[in-house]
Amino acid sequence: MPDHSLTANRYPEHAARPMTTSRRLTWRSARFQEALMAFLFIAPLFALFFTFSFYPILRAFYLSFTNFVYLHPEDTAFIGLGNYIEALGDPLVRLSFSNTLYYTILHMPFSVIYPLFLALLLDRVGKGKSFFRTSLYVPSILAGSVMAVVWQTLYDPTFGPFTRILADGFGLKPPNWLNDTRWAMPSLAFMGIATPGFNMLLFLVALGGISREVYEAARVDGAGEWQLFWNVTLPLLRPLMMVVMVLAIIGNLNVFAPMEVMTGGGPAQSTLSYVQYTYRVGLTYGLLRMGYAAALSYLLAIVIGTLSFVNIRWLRPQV
Amino acid sequence: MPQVQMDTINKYARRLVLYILLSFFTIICLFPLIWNISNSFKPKAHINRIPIMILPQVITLDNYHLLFERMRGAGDFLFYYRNTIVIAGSTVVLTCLISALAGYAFSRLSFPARNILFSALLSTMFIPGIVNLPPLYAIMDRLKALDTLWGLIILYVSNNKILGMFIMRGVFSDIPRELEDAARIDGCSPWDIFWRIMLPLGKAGLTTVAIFAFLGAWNEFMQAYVFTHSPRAMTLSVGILILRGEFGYEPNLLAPASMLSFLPSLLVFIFLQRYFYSGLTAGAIKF
Repeated sequence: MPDHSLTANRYPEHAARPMTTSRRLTWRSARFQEALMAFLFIAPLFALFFTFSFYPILRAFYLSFTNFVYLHPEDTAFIGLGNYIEALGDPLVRLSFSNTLYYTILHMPFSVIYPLFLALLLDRVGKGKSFFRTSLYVPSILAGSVMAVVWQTLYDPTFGPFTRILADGFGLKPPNWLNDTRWAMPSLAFMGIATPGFNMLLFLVALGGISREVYEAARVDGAGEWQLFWNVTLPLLRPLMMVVMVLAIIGNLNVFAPMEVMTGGGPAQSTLSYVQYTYRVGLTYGLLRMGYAAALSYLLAIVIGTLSFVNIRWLRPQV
Repeated sequence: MPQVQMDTINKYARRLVLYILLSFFTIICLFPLIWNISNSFKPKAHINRIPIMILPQVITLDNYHLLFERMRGAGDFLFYYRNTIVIAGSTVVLTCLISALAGYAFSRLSFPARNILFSALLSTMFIPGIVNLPPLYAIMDRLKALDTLWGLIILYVSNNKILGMFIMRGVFSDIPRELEDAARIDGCSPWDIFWRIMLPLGKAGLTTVAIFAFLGAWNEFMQAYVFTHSPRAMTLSVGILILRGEFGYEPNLLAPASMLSFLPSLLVFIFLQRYFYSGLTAGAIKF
């Protein structure tokens, strides 16, 4: 497995080697030809990159300091930090952000502990490993929005299996899952139980990388299974766990589809997520206040950028 | 009992527990899917009935029949399906091509500003998707790309290009340099070296890129949701919401519709998962 590190010059001896001995950059020189060809090769990628990533990101930054409204662009004026100041006083910003934090916290066990637990089980199993791995991973590759529609039938307050099992099986009075302000968000987060997916695979790869000799040595010293896990496996996995945790926080702060598909942010905006609110401000409500939406999205970018920085700077495991 | 025998029993007991636990969680993970498969094969009267049946008592294809019949005329479902196939297919081809070209340049060719350009690609990866959504809407509007198939195709290629480039760069870097040198000495042009030697050797990597591009395009929700609004261009992941509205009182149609929309992803994943896993490690750098 190649190590895809983050620097372009991992293969300097390959990449930097000129094709001929001439190092002068002139027309017709092999070096010039090579550079020309390289630029042609990367041109399509960078055309897309500048049009659909780089420019919109800069544009959003600029817009966040204006009162730009999509349907009345002629009224646009520069308003400095106006949008950002407005955002800090906007009750829906506060509500949607705290909703998103709540979702993130509820979802964390499904993002870290649960995938780790499954990876530990998978790592130990001999026969049938690939069957279990595939089965546990499959739900993660299916369209989330279609899955959300399926989950809606699971949460049906009359005919849903959760309701029926609790009511008929245990004689309880189940809540009205997605229509109850207290239960809606936990219900959305609980869907994480079907998608241990990517993080489980990451942990599995990491577990496979721990040398058997480490375990042997600990066993010889008389360590039991539990001690092995607590004193050997866990410390070795801790760096990866931290990274997975930060990535899970980032991913969950960006949550949009489950709310938009299943609850529409309701009931009573109890599941309105931050990205969902931003989307509504910029692309659905009234005259499409894109300037304000850009400011909201940059506030999220600041939070996520900080987390990414922490992740890269201090937490990335030294592989 | 002798110690050895105890140990063997212990070992088997432990393995049994392991399998029971794994089976339990596998069923939990697959439960939504099982529930939907099961509903899609139940007779209409058995869906939404008390007591519920997790598995169908009678298996029938009626729901699928009815779905196709309903869709034969000006059916939206077929539109969504066709759109998704066209979009995912084009995304796969274009992503593979663009990623391979750029991956080759970044792994083998030397050119000015190489590292700066590379870092520029990385720098945008931590920006949340919502940031460029409003300006993207304006761009798409200006390009007359709203509610078109090619509009989504171009966005999806753009979504997958960096990951694809990384994967191909890694693949090309692992091919021995001597092969190229030999070809060059034999008089191969640089383009021929790329097209006739490197690309065929990077086939496994291309398959990986293709799977990611396919799943990415097939499953993408937010951009399809924002940038399409008619059956002309909608994909299944958004169209399912329209179907949910239409089939509000016909759960027997919604279940087979979701099943059919899952099917291509399932097939691609199950048959090509070897390539999928090899790309995951490359995908990990996405973060």
